[in-house]
Amino acid sequence: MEAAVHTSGLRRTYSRRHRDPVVALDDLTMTIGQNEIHGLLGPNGAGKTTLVQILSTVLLPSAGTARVLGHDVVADTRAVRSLVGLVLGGDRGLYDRLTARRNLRFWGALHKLDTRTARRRADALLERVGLAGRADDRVETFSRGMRQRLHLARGLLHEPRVLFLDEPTSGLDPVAAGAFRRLVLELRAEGRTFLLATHDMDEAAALCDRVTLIDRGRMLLTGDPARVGRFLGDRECVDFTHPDPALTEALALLPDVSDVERRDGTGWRVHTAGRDGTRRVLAWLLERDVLTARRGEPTLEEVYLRTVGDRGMRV
Amino acid sequence: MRHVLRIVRESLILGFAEMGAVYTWRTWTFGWLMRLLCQATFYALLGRYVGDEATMRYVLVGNIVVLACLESTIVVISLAGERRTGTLPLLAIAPSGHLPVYLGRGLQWTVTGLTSASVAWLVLPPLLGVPLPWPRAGYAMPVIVLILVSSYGYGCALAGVALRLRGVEWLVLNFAYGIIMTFGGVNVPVGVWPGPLRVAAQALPVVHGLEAVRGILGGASTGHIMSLLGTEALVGAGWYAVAALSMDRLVAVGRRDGTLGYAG
Repeated sequence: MEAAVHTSGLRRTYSRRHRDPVVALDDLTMTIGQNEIHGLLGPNGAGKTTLVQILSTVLLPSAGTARVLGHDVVADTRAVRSLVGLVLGGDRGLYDRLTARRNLRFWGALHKLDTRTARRRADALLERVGLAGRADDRVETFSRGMRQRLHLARGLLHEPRVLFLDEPTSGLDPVAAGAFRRLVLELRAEGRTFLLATHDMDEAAALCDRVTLIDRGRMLLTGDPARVGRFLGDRECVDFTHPDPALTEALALLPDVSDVERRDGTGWRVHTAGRDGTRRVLAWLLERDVLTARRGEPTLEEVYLRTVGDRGMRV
Repeated sequence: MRHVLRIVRESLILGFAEMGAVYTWRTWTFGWLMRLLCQATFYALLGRYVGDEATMRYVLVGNIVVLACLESTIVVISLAGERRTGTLPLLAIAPSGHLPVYLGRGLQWTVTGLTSASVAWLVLPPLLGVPLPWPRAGYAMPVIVLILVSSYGYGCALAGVALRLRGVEWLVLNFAYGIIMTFGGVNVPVGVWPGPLRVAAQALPVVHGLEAVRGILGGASTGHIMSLLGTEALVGAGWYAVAALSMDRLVAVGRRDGTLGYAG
């Protein structure tokens, strides 16, 4: 079966005046199967939104190829646009002064739906996302969760086969986020494919068949959410500077320390076993007058490099 | 074609809904419309002060007709709003293409522009003691509609610039309107300006249409009027072409440099 999404060597850079260009995506090769919910995980600035924008034809790649259901996002833009739905997160992307129903009819017209079809689908989708009772209220009166459901309804209006959700539950309360996730699972059961860009590991664990972890535009690992979750749980370290290597040798013997690495000159990074371990290591260093010690976060890439061997994740 | 009309209709509904955020019918009538009537009156009285009754009539007619242009160029603000609402990238990838909706997003201002200019046309001349010659003044109304249409194209073209430069929509709107007020033959004839400016002014909307209005009021020949109307329509078409190119370029450049999603 043809992949829902396939990228090969995908690269995107943003040029900046008088400065080096920013690499948002770097040689990204990934495949998403049909009827899959695929999570795209990574910190802010990892390249998640850039990938979603390229796949939904909002943005052109700098190099490489991206295909949606076999259609190239650059050469066959029109076909791709009819197959995909883009669901933005947050407050933007809706017309506040229009009612929910009018918002959907507006976008129905833009999707070339005839009047009758646009009305029928708008009514059905409002019912489905639980907004039928507020269909004729202005969007400006909606809560964040209601807006998010309307975003999803808008994205579904032209019945796309692949949906790109860009941080759809960002800022939602747990009840609203849970309702939104149930809706996504229902839609998947109808045969749709989802690419869900998020930095919420819980959301990925609850929804996704597979997740891909990206950082600084590069794919670090892909696999099932439970395994990736264990990686993220281990992200603890302490950074400090000290001129005497003997101190780090003593530090390395502590039970909470899994590894000590030299960063540069007198700089050191201690990898610890969880938050309690970090606390004990910080206390140990402070007792020895190492006042530069502070809790740090290894890059996702470091986490991957340290763990890929024994956890067997595939890049 | 049918779907384009549907987009225009939905855009009009959206436009009036957005207008409702700024005006009620009372604030529009007693705030905005009164402001426009006062503006035209101010210039007309200035014309009377520096000249005679004929000068006053000249300035009054110019300032009434230009109201149609003033309002229709507010499309610059409506279109720039697409960045703030975050809908610009969604419009850019809509299967209908972005042009119909971009060109339809400020149509509500053509409706209010026609209303303002019509009210001013009916009320101000008798009020200021320079009544227009009826029924000839009535024949000028369709010309005002033509000016409105060509000015809207001018506004759409400049909206493309405002969307690209971001955050300059009010500057662009006032610049666009200021150019028309200064060089469009509203207060002083275009012929007053030095050669190059006079030539450049021929590319502005309003110029030929306003001359046609004055021709109608002055009893000029039908052939002359038709020629002026044809030129106004041609100028308008030119601005629509510039608008289409400008918005195509906005989307093409935005997809290339990643600026479509910027909030502005």
